[in-house]
Amino acid sequence: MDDFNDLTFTKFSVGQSVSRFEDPELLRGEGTYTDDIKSESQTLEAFVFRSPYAHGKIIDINVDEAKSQPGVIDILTYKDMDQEKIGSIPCLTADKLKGKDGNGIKVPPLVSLAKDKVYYVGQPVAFVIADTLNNAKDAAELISLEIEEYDVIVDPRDAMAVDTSSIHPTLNDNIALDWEYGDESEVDKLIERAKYKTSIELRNSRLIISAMEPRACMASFDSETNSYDLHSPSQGLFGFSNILANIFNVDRDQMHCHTPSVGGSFGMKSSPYPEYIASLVAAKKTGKTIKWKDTRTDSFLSDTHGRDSWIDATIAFDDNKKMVAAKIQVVANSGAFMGLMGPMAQSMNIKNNFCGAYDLPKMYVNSKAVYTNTTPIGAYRGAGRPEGVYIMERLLEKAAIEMMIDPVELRKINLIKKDQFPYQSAAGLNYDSGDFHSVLQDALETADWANFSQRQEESKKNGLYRGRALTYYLEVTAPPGKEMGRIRFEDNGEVTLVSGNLDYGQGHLTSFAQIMSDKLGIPMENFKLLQGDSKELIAGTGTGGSRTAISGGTLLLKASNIVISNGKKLAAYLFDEDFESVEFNNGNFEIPNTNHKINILELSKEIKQLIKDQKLPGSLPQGLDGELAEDTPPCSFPNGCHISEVEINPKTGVVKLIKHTAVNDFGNLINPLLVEGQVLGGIIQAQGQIMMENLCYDDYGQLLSGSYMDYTMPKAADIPKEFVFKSHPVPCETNPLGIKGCGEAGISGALPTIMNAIVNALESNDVDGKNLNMPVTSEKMWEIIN
Amino acid sequence: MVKINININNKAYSEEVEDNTLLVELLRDKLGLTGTHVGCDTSQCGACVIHVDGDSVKSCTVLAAQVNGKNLTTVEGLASEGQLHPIQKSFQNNHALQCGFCTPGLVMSAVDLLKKNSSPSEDEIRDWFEGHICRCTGYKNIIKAVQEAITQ
Repeated sequence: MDDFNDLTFTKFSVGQSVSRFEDPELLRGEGTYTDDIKSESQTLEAFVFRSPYAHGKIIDINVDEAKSQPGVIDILTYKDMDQEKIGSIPCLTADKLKGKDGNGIKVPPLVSLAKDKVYYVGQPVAFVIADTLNNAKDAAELISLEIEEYDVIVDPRDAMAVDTSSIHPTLNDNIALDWEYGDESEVDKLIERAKYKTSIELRNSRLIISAMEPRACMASFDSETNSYDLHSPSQGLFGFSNILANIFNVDRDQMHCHTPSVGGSFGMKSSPYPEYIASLVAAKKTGKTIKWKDTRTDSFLSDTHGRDSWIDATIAFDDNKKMVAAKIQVVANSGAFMGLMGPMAQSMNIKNNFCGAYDLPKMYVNSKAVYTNTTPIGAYRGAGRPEGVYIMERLLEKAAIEMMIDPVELRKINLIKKDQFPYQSAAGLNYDSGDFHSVLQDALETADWANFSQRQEESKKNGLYRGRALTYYLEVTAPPGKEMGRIRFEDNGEVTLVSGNLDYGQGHLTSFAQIMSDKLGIPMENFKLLQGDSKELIAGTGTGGSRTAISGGTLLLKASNIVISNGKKLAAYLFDEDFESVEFNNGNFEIPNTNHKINILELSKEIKQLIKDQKLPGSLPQGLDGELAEDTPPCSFPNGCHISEVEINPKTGVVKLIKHTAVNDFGNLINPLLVEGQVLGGIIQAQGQIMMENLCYDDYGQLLSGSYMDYTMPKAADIPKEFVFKSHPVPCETNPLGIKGCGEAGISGALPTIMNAIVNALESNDVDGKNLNMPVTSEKMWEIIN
Repeated sequence: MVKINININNKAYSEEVEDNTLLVELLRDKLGLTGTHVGCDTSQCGACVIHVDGDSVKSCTVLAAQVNGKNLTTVEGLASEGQLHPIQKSFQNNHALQCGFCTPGLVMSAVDLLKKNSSPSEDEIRDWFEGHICRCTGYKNIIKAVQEAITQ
């Protein structure tokens, strides 16, 4: 047993770049995504008939002809939803985010199938159930939707104009929430009196979130227990199953939800969607298992979209170029209905993340969330964090040009200093730790900032404009909530970890197993992870907001203390010694200087045998298992410095990201390989948003970029050839692992950096780029230069 | 209906398929080979790439009836005797996958690349993956995985 302890602690432990335990199965094609599941009972296929109109009153939905087609079992409409008294999909922040008027968000009901009106192209109207998918699709073509068409509004700035009537009959206008933070008149005065001020108008493009696995579900109903069963992607089943139970007005244990492997999500798959609700209703009505899967083309209409806001921002500086105050005004498109998280991203999260690592004394933020005839907007990686950082860094880059100060110098003047910790930000958040000036210096050296001019000269010889920029980002991650941790010792020697998070590509098993292996001295391979079964969960924050290692990691760590405490009592019983004398070291319960020593897995085995033989006293813990649910640690504040170098070909307008450096303070790293992977993925998503991605509607609310044919995604050939990732840790002081959350940092840090490097390339060649807006396509760039 | 005889992962199949059945539908829905994924419907994403007579092919863009008499390899047929193919191993070593959904297509494509070009340059690797979309990894580690596999 001593041998295996040595192995455990040298091969696997926190801080090591362990390759993932999740991978072999996925690489063999044995991963089970929702659409891969085969039902044991007879399965029917479903297809959604979606509104081809963006806005109109429903005169008639005629499904008669479609219903008589071969193989068609049933076609559901809102009438079936009404009959089952199905509720609407809630907005969880409706009462939490208060507007200027003190009221919460105005939330018209988001129902599963359209009733009375259609509000956006792609809105589900009818749900066709047939023996085969092709029969369902063929029948759907015969559904007749008669509409009295209304004017269509796709731009939130138009939608909030005073003379525009609301798209929702129950509302007076399209503004769902008019939110503010700070004292506007005070900030206005500070800006007015300041020596320098810089303003900028920014577009935050609308994006397709584009998880590679399209959404899907499989639903069934058990009439004996009156309970539903759903397989679908999610980002955590505790809240998800509660919401669905509420929608169906059943108890939580009557809504059994499962999530198998998830092929990416980035915020998009967190919500129960209309199609899942319709599938559950159809399962009850037909008594059969219902399978539904989205096509990619339909997913462009039906998945929540990301971003989409218009921003006016101003920052003011004193004589010493020290920040005085900033004002941000956001008009955010909410789409036709409020998503699960409401307009959090474009209001609270912009406010929380804008001031970042900078010593900004005062800020004012106003954000208007506006309904339009477009697909509902939801969270996309970062959800307001990238926007906050982007606004600040665009302002700083422009201000540096206007004030004629070196951009590094301007940041140095304004970064919070180490001796200012603990620090309360202008957003009202308390930062526990950080060393921004050291990280900045590290990044400048790592990226060879000092010798840029040589590289710029080289580029110039090749007829190319070279530019560079730096960003200092700080994000607020891991919003608190109630999480669980359970450690269960199985009969076969495996140890099951249960958390209310949900892995959609991050590698939770590997990270958790590293923590648990360190703590419990159990080989990493013995651990299994269970997150995708709502019946196993007693709490859960899900996975989002870069929280899982902090929430799930901390709760599992605490559960392991229960395991050790149980183990000490049980070992003491076996040793026939005092409980206090037992120690736990490197996976063994032992009494030092005696021959009493037993490995934790051996102990579990022996206790299980005693229980089986009914020989374990009832006064003792009945096994080592540990479980608890409690509030998670406070938010953490990962931060770092990104540096980009780009080249522009002025003859073609083609922009290339040449090199990207990211030096980060994520506190302690559990697995550097996985952290780097998270950061890199985020950086390329940022590159996509800056250089190519842009979802466009025409004036009739139809998508102009409705497939991968005309919505440009970053590909392998687009990414920078030089990428440098470095960790510069300052351990977090508010959670036991000392970690800060890395999932969204890549996109937050890179979004402004790539853009500002392009701005710098233009400005260095006497082209005005200060107000450049995304996406910077080669066509746009060519027009600007020529 | 069309009758086809095909060999998949060294196993013979004789199947009746509809004229309009896509190869990927045959693989996934009828034969249960769900390692081949469908990530789009416009032949852009590459999650469905398999080998037909040794060449990488997007199985969403081929009719099942077109592969009569051919030898197919899907991702399930890549590992031999329980051992991951060197490309698969290299993907794991280099953290070249996150959610894993696009991965089978990329792995099959990478195997074909190294068969046709045993020592591709970085640019050749980047260009080879033009027909693939990965949203998670940012591609860097995928390129690295292929580079590492070259040296093995």
